[in-house]
Amino acid sequence: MIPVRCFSCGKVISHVWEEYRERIKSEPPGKVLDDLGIESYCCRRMLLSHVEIVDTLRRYQ
Amino acid sequence: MAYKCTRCKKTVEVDYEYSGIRCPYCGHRILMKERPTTVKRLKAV
Amino acid sequence: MKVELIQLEEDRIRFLLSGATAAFANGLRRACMSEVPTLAIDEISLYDNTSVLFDEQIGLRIGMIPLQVEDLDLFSEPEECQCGGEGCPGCRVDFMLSVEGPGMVYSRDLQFTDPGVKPAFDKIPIVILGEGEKLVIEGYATKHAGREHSKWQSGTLCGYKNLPTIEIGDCSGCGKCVEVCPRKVLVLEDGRAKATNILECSLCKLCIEECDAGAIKVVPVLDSFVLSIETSGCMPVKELVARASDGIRKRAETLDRKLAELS
Repeated sequence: MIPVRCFSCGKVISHVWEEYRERIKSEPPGKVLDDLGIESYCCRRMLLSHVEIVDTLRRYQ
Repeated sequence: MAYKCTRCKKTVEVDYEYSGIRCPYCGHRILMKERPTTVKRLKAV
Repeated sequence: MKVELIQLEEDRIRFLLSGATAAFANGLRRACMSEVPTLAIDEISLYDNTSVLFDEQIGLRIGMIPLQVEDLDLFSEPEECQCGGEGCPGCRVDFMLSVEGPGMVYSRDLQFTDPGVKPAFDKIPIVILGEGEKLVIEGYATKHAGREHSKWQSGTLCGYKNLPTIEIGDCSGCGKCVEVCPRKVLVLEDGRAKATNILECSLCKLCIEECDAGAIKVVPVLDSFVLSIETSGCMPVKELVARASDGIRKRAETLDRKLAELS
């Protein structure tokens, strides 16, 4: 699961995660982040570097 | 304490003296501990 | 002291504070970050959790959700409450979360007993539930300041810098400084470099190094500061700055009174 807030500055970033994940399929991630208002590089890396593994974990429940 | 066999999904009582960790129904040796039914309180941090 | 507004949005503000000391500007920044109390979920009771996340992980995620309150002054911090910290409607807001899978659990699913309290963002994912997975939680939110834990932090990105001034002396018009400036502060006009949007200058001084004639001087104005403050979403930024400055004044008054008692 995407962390609720940015680790460094504390800004809430998770509310844009689902839109971000949909849009990067057809648009460059940098542009999407600008559009969603994620400006500082600490917040940008939160979304850019996130790997969703909950669905993989579920198989081993 | 209730355990659950990961293969046959049956609830298992562990007999420490006799058989060790083993499912008496299917012989499988991987058991899962069940979540206690009590309410768990914790700080949201 | 003079305040001049540069930019104001719902969640961020930039303003010029002139005629103040660095200590005051930093005091305001720190007050915004750690002295303005707000509500956040403090303790939870888990009745059922068959999701993929551990109980503690869910606790952390729920605690981190910023909460908007209609009237924050109705609540008091548990330590200062008339109930003595035991928990009463004056210092606690109960909530309930009961969801069955499949599907995503969002912050909007949190149901507070007080209609004046709601999550600042509706679409914060808490956990994704699979077929037949259940999550039943009850708990309460309390009011605290950011110094207690970052989940109560009302101001997130708060910073300040000195107001820069750029003096350009004997300019040859080579345009090297215009090219090197990362914030595009300098432009070439009538064969001379000219500083335009001075507020954007980050005082990196790359232009000084680049200028062969040594004509550029970047000097910070020591008693003027550009403050930029952002909120977590729990309150509008105007309210945050007002509450922070109010807090500073109250503490200064307390100090004044104590000193008067001593002498």
